[in-house]
Amino acid sequence: MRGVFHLIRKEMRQIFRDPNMLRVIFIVPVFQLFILGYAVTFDAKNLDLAVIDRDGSSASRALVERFSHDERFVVDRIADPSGGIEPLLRRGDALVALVIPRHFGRDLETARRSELQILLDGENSNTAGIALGYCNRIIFRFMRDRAAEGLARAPAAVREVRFVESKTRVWYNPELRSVYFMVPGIVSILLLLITMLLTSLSIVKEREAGTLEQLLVTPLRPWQIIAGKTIPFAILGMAEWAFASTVGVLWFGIPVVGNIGVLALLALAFIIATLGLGVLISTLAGTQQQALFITWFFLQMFILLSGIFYPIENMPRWTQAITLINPLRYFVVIARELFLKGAGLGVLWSELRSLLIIGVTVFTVATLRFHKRSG
Amino acid sequence: MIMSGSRIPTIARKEVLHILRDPRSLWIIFIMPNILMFLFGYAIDLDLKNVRLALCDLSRTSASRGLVEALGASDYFSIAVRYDDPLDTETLFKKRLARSAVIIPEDFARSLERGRRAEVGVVIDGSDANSASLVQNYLETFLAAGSSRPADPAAGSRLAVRPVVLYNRTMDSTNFIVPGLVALVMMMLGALLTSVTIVREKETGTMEQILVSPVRSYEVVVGKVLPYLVLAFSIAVMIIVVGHFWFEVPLVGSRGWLMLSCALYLFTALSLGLLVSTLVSTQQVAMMLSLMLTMLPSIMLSGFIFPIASMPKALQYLSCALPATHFLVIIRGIMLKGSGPAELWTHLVFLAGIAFALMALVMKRFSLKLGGRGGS
Amino acid sequence: MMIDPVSGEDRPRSVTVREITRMFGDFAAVDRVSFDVGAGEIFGLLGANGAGKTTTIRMLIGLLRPTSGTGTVGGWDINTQFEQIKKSIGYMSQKFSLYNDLTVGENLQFFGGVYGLGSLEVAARIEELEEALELGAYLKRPTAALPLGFKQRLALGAAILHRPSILFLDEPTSGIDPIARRHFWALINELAAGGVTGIVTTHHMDEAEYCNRLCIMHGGKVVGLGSPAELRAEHRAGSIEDVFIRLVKGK
Repeated sequence: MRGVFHLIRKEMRQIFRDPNMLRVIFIVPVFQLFILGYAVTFDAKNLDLAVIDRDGSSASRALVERFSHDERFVVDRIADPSGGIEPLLRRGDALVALVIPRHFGRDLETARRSELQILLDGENSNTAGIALGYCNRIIFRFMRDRAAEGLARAPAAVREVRFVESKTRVWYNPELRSVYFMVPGIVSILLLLITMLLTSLSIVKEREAGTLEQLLVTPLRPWQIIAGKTIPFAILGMAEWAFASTVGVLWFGIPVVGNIGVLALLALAFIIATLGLGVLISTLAGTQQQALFITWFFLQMFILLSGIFYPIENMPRWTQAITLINPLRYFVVIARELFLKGAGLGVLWSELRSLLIIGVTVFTVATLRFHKRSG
Repeated sequence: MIMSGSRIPTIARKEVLHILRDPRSLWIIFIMPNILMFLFGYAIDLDLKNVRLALCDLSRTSASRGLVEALGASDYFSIAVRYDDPLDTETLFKKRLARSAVIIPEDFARSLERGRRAEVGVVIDGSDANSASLVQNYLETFLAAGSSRPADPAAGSRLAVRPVVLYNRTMDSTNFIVPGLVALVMMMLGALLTSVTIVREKETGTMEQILVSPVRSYEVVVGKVLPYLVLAFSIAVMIIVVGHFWFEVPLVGSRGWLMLSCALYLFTALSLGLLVSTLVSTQQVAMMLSLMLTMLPSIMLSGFIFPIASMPKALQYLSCALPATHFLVIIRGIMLKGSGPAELWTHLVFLAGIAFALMALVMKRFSLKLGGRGGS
Repeated sequence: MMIDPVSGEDRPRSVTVREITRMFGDFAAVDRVSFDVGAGEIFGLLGANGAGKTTTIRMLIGLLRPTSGTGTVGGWDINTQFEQIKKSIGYMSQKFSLYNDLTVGENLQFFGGVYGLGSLEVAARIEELEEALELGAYLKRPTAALPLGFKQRLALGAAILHRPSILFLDEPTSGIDPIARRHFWALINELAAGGVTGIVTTHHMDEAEYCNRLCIMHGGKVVGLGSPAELRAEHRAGSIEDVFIRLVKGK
């Protein structure tokens, strides 16, 4: 144990001696957190909507009003452009164009067929899809309300019509602020980055410098060397995570319903898995640059397949299977459920178990690969 | 500057050997973008399907059953749980058995008959805000559109809504990911690798060795950086080619302008990398700093995934200062919309401006540090 | 048993090597090498770069597994008991393998600690070794800033803090000026007089004279074994360098 203590002390000295390192670990992530907390949202707001109202009736104006009042759209009423509508979108002046045909109001009242055209700039398919969804919702509500008020007279059809309204309540995050969900996710990503990358770089650096060999000649056993390399980064990672989480929670006003102690425990389980991965990567890389690329590879995959940005349930079976070995996936669920719903160990048990399985497996493989004697 | 051609190739050659001797990194550099395109093309889908609903039908009439059936029949929803006591909703959410709950009140059928209007309770688990808002959207649209008659898109009228998607008719996510990937990869290879390679020489002390030789410092920089530029550019081209021919991403506009814009952007990435290399002295820090300063903002703030218009004003301004933001508009414009310099000139100017500003900064720092031959 | 040239008595063997071989694919880096080293001896492994000296050493200290052959270090079997070997040896690598971002004192504290010495013991040892190592004034200096000669002394110091009975030194004088080199060899001799066995690899032929016995390697094989005097006599050469050239040319 003494050996491990000395290793940890040496590593800590090395880390703290480099002021840039500390800045990069503590300050830059928090900085990122602020920015990302605000930027990262799938809520679309201020979408440029161009309205071409060929009708000009009270009905069409009422419909346009609905859009104007919705904070998600920035409405620009345009007279029918001679050059066609497409250039509007091409130039990027509008993301969506709503074309209200002539006789819209009249057709509504007389229950004749009418067609609203919505043109979308599909360049960013995410946003386009969301924008379309919003449009649909506004339009259908408009129609339903008009029908209810009897303004759309369709004598025969009215009998068939039933209006089902929903009274919606959103729990745990009533304003649906994606920040509540994103911040724990982003903090987890930062934690992943630090523990995985720094651990692997640190080991590879010693290998490059020759000091790793020197360590291998001493009575230190492989597990001691690994412990001496991972424990400092575990401590550092936890400190950074605690710091970033606290800042994030305070700044963005994220409610913390669950038990922090449990969260810390689970974060530890997460770190064990990620540190193990760092060590494993160090056995695969010969140079620091290689370590960087391999880590980047894993990082990219983990982040994409973590459920933070893209829901896992939507992915095909084979992709979902891959996410099973992604520690980030489990931790994201943990962070979210614990923060917002106050979930306890009982509910999160399966995530904890998965993390521990991954952690133990990875560490075992890494330690075996770390063999002192080659050949 | 007269390029003393004799030494740059020597230095460049050494760097190329360096790169070639690292097959693992090379493999990853080449394969990663393809994997990402693959994932986005086949695995990642933002529309929610089969949202797990918990259903509590307190009415149990043919009317309510009709609604339930319609919900179940829809592609968007799947009824995961049926329960009887609305108070259990919380437990269901806590146990993560369902994402949202639909509670049909006891007087559902009566209300419909009497006043043509009935209220259905919907509770949504807001913890996953992204999905939650989509779920909310779907449910409300579904119900408002006449849930008892799923085939009838607009209750009580003959209104049709015809959406037309331009430039990405199939709304393929690959169409929007490929330009982003090009931006990302060039930034990574251009900025990250350049900073690391220069810092590495500093770290191992060989920088001194080189500086002491007749080689001039700019020759060192150009020679070291040139192979990475070529590498980055080739990968960008590879992504575009694979994206276009395999994933059918359109390439409507001028290829010449596309290549030119890529080169300009690469130059910017390169300047960033050089700037980082003048700030740090170890590879570890160079990597972390490059990652954090170039990659993350390029992904998050450039409009690659998250729409800029939705960001707070301050961030929108910040986004304007990022080369990736402008480059994305340019490359998407050229590839997907067939835009040319006429439409894109503002962004081109911005990009060029950023590039030169950065390079000027770099030159200044370089001359400060290396000028006196006092070391780096 | 070996005969101590001074006392004439039998000397216990510190290191025994029998037919040790190391293959890398088809290439034999070390080819059936055998020798013995007596306790308190300074044993030199001499040869050009690539002769197999470093590979041999690495097999003896537990870094590399021999493809075939056996050996003991301090009585422990190199194939099965390498963990025990590590406790009783000290090693100085070619690169001096020190932590450049730690100070001299911190490096010594670390390596001492890793071998089980408490910080007080380390401090005591540093004082003891002060005259020999002359590092006292530099304890707080960052290692990166030290000139090469100091780094060498630091590396040696780190290797002997825990009083190992056998020292393995791989090219310990590379890049060091002649005066420092001589000083270094004086240290080694002192240690040997105290009973420490030293196994040193070098490609400096003039250093051969400092050793009690030599093993000259070429192409992975042993081409000469014996004391410097014996070898010179055997090959009728004036210096070990000549011996070497004659041996190599002959192959």
